[in-house]
Order: sequence, then structure tokens, then C-alpha cells
Amino acid sequence: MRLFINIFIIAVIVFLAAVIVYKSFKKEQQGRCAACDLDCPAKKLATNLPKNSVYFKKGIK
Amino acid sequence: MADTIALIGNPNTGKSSLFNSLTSTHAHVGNWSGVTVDKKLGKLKGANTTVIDLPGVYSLDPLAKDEAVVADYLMHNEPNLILNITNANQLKRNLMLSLDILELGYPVILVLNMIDSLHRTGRQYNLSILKDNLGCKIIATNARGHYGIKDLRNEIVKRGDFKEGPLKIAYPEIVQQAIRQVARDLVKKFGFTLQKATWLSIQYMNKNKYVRKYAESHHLTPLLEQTEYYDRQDFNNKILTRRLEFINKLLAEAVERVNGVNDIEISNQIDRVVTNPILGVLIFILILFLMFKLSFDWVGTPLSDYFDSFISGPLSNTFDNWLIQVGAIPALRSLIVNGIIAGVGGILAFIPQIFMLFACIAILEDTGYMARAALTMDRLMQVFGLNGKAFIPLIIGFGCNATGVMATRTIEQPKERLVTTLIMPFMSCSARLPIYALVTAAVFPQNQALIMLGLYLLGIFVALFMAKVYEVLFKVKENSTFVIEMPDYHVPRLDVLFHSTWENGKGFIKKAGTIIFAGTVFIWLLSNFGPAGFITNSSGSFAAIIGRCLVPIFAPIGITSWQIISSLFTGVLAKEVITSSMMVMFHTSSQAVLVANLTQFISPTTGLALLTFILLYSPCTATLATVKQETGSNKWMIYSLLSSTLIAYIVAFIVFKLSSLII
Repeated sequence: MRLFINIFIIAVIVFLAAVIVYKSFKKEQQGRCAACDLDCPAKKLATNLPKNSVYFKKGIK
Repeated sequence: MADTIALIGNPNTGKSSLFNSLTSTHAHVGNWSGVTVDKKLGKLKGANTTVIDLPGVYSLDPLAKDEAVVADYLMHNEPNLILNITNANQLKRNLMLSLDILELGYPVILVLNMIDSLHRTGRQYNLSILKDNLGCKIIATNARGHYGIKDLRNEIVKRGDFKEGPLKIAYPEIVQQAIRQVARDLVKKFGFTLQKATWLSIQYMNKNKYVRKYAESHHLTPLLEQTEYYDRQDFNNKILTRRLEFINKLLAEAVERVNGVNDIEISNQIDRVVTNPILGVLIFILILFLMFKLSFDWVGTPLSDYFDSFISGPLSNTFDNWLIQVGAIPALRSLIVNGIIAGVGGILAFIPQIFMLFACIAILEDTGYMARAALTMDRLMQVFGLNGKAFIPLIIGFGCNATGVMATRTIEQPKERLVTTLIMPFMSCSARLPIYALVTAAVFPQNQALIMLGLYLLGIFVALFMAKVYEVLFKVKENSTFVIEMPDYHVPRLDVLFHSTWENGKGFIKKAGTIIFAGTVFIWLLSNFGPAGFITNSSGSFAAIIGRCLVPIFAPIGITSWQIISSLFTGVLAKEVITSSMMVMFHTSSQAVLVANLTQFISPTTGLALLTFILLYSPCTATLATVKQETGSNKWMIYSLLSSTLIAYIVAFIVFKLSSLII
């Protein structure tokens, strides 16, 4: 039982790490603000805005 | 629906400072141009009003991508109020943008910010004269000193009492007649309001590139059909001349003399020294050296040693003992103590150095020195086909390459923007500092700051050299226009320094809990498991097998330790992970022990080659993703990864061979 709990904890930690890496890659695929690690107020607000909001639409090329 | 207030103004007029004061947020503030490259949003304190901070622009005619953000915003949105932020000390130039905005006819409050600077020159403006002639409210503020902010907020909340309709400048009759005619057609055929149609017509005649593009894409035939006529009649010059006359007359009427201390002369004297072509570069290098001395010798490292001794001593031991007591098996103890605590804790021990460096950068920004540095570097960069405009993103790249790549939007010429994007990974980002600190402590303990300075200068040199190569390869003929404000010198404000340092530094702490943690767990798995399963001797691990396979490739640059080679690969996740990987590979949570271990594997020549390789090789995945987004192509992302790694290898090889001859 003790061995099982130990292995279970190791598995949870490894799974958590895998989820973090997966989330990081997904986030980075969006580029720009999403790729940046700074959690500035603009980013917080942007996450609460509707996806089609004109405020955060991409700049003209 | 919530009200919207837009902050528009020239660069470096204190928009971000005002934005922070009005919204209680802490957007990055810099006493130099180009700090805001995209829109920032906040909520007005105590009101259901959205405040939008737009990038600084000199006019609504966009030269660069970031300048288009403002024109684009005004074309597609109708804010309830525009706060036109001006530098009171440079009002003549600032009013050119104000006229663009006032002609649009939205309610405007003209904010004369930095009013203290104006007073120090012995001048002030009669606000009633400005108000009557411009037809908008005028408020004088000093955002840094919080002067006038309360009045401004009251005025925003109160609203009302705005002059009806847009500002009308008496353009020559031929222009006025053309405006009337085309505006009427635009109203009739395209359903614009007369106000918007008039503004569009003036902007179109004034050769506003964004508006011309808009007219083309929306087939605004009344404008398109007259293009040749407007340009042949030189309407844009006629408009410009009349606007300048309007501004000159207005300011001549409104200016008043007051007793004040004239500190322009002192500022000019300092500028003569710090922007001198030769002395200026030397001062810049000296300042960098002092920054590294503070971060690595005088303040950062001693503090870091305290962190390190706590993490590797009491913290690790307490956890280890506790894990033994609760019956943890050796694998779990190893994962937590030699993996997570060693890797993540080992990185957190570098917090004092990282924060010290960010504090130094914040001081340089807030004093107003950065703008002078950009001007000084402009001359040097022109030799390599770039200009000072590229310097600003490159300096931002010292903090984070991904943010630096985003900041290249301020460069209007696409080829120049691409060149700056491609050389960005050579700017040594702050994430690389822990590994530099570690390696230099192992092989150059007496000269850490000097080696650090050398690395930064090498990065700049390689970046400029590659910029020249790309200039030839891409046949860059046009260069961007570099205009930068010389802001007043300020005594740095503690709250600005604190917030700037914290905002930059907290990303580092956040990464420790996310990607560094994940990288550490994976490197622990690779170094504690092998074909035979869980092992206690890592020389039989998967990490050792992979590392040994790559030794022949790294041997020519002097790196023969499989632990170091395996650690380098984890740096692609995030550069900090190289350090945490080394902690795990060498089974220690103590910097001091790791440094002692490294001295056995790295000679001074190998150390220099290793540092060079780390400085220049592949950017992290976040930067690569941003390169892809900003260039809009996978091709450039892959090119950035491969070219920087190849360049890193070649330069590291040269450094290794040269240093072998010398040392």
C-alpha cells in the first residue's frame, strides 16, 4: 500500500508537469501576448473580453 | 453599455502614467518613446468606464504598425471621450495630432501634462484662450507628481458642456469647397455622418495612408475619383500650412511669462556629454558594467547566497527528513528533494540578481537616459543598416526576447522589422542570467561582472554583424525614420521603480512554478531512469545516453560533459531550465556545490565557449512562437531556430579556439 501511494504521488507530479508543458505549448502557439509570461492588467482584461472584441483584434499588417 | 475613454497623444507624453493614475493599474511606464506598442485597457476608478491607452503617435497618418493602431481604432470605434495627452513643454508639435483629433468632433479633453516642465522654462499657457480656440476642455496635469489628476477625473465623470461639433480650421477656399463637395457625396452614397465624412475627406486629402487604404478597400469612389486632383493641387501642403499658422497664432496668444527656474541649460549640458558619438557609447558601456557589478558583485550575489544557503540547507534537509518519517521511497524523495527543490529552488535563489538588474533598467528608463542611449546608438546602428528605432526593441529584448520581437512593430519598414526580429535572439534575455551567474562563478569568480558585460557586448556585436549580412541579403534599401523625444531628466520615483521591477520580475517567479517546474520534473525522469528502470547512478540514465551521443558534436567547442549537453536542450523550453537541469543532473540544490562540480568539468576556455553558445543558440519556444506570429510564417520561425543555433556553434568554436591560444 505504501509503495502504491508513493508511486501514485510520483505519477501525479509527472502528470502535472506534462499538463503544464502541454498548456505552455498551446498558449505559445497563439503568440504575442499569450507567449509572454508577464501577467499585466491588459492581459487580465483581455482574457475577460469577448474573442471578437475590437480592442484586441490584431493590428493591420 | 459602459462608456469608453481613449487616451491618445504623442510618444512620451506620460499617457501610461496617466492611465495608471486613472485606472489604478500598473502598466509599464518608461521615460522614453515606444513603451506602449498595443492598446492597454483599464477601468476608471469608481466608474463603469473603460479606459484605453493607445500607443503614442505623432499624427494619425501611420508610419509604423503601432501607429496604425490609433488610426484603426478611431476608424472603427466611437469613444465617448478622448483624452488627448500632450507634453505642455512641446505643445506646438503635440497640437498637430490634437487638430487631427479635434476635427473628428468627438468630445475631447486636452490634457497639458508635464506642466511642471513648462513652468521650469518660465512659461505657462492661458487655458481660457486655448479652450476658446480649440473648442475643448483643457486640464493641466503632472502625472508623475499626481498634480491635476483629481480635477481630470472629476471632469471625466462630470462630462457635459462640450462644444458641439468638430473644430473648424479656415483652410483655403479651394480646399474647403472640395471638402464640402466630397463630404456631401460620402453622406449621400455611403451613409457616413457629415462629421465623419468631413474628417475622412480632410485626412484623405492630407494623404493619410491608413485612410487612403480604407477608402480603397471600401470603394469610396467620391474620394478615389478625386485623388489625382487633390495631389496635383497639393492639398496636403495647403492643409499643413494652414494648420501650422493656426497653431502658431494660438500659442502666441496663449503663452504667458512666469518666473521660473530655467533648467534647460543643465539638461543640454548633460546631453552634450551622454549623446556624444564616442563618449556616449563609452558611457553606455560603463553603465552596463555598473549594472552587472550591482547585480552580480555588490548586491545581487550576496543576497542570492543567503537564499541559496537556506534552500540547499534547512529547506532541503527539513523536507528530506520529513519524507523519511512519512515513509517515502527513495524515488519520491529524489524527485522532491533532488528534483523539484533542487531545480525550482535553485532557480529561485537567483531572484535577487534578476530583480536587481530589472531595478537598474527601471532607473535608466525613469531618469530619461534610455532615450539618450537610443540616440547615441542610432549612429552606430546606421553603420550596420539599422537605426535607433531598432535599438528600442533590442533593449526590450534584454528583458525578454518575446516582448522584444513584439516591440519590433514600431519599425515601419517590413524588411528592417524582419532583420530586427531575426537578430533579437542574440540579445541576452534575463532568463539566461542564472546560467551565466553559475558558469562565471565556476570559472571566473573574480570577474563575473566583466564577463557578463563581455557577453552582452558579444551578443550586440553578433546581432549588428548579422543585421549587416541580412541588409545585403534582403537588399534593404529603405530605412525607417527614427524620431525620438528627449524627455526631461527625472529623479526616479520609487513607486515607478518598484512596480516596473516587480512587473518584469514576477514573470520569472511565475515561470518557476510552471515551465521550470515541468522542465525539472522531466529532466529528473531522464536522469533517474534508464533502460534498466529507476537507477541511483545517473551515468546509466537516458539523459546520459542522449548526452554521450552528442558529445562528438560538442567536443570541438570544448564541451564534453553529457550533463551539460543534456541541460542545454532543456533551455529551449525556457532558458532558466538550463540551470535547474544542471542542479538535477548534479544531484544538488546548492549553488555552491554545483559551482564546485562545474569547475571539474569546465576549464576557462570551455566556460567561455559554453557561455557563448548559451548566449546565441536557439531562442525559447515563447520567442519562436512570437516570431511566427509577428512574421506570419513558420518559415522564419524555423529559420530563427536553425540559424541562431548554427551561428552559436560557429562563434563558440571561434571563441574556444581563440581563448585556447590566449589562456
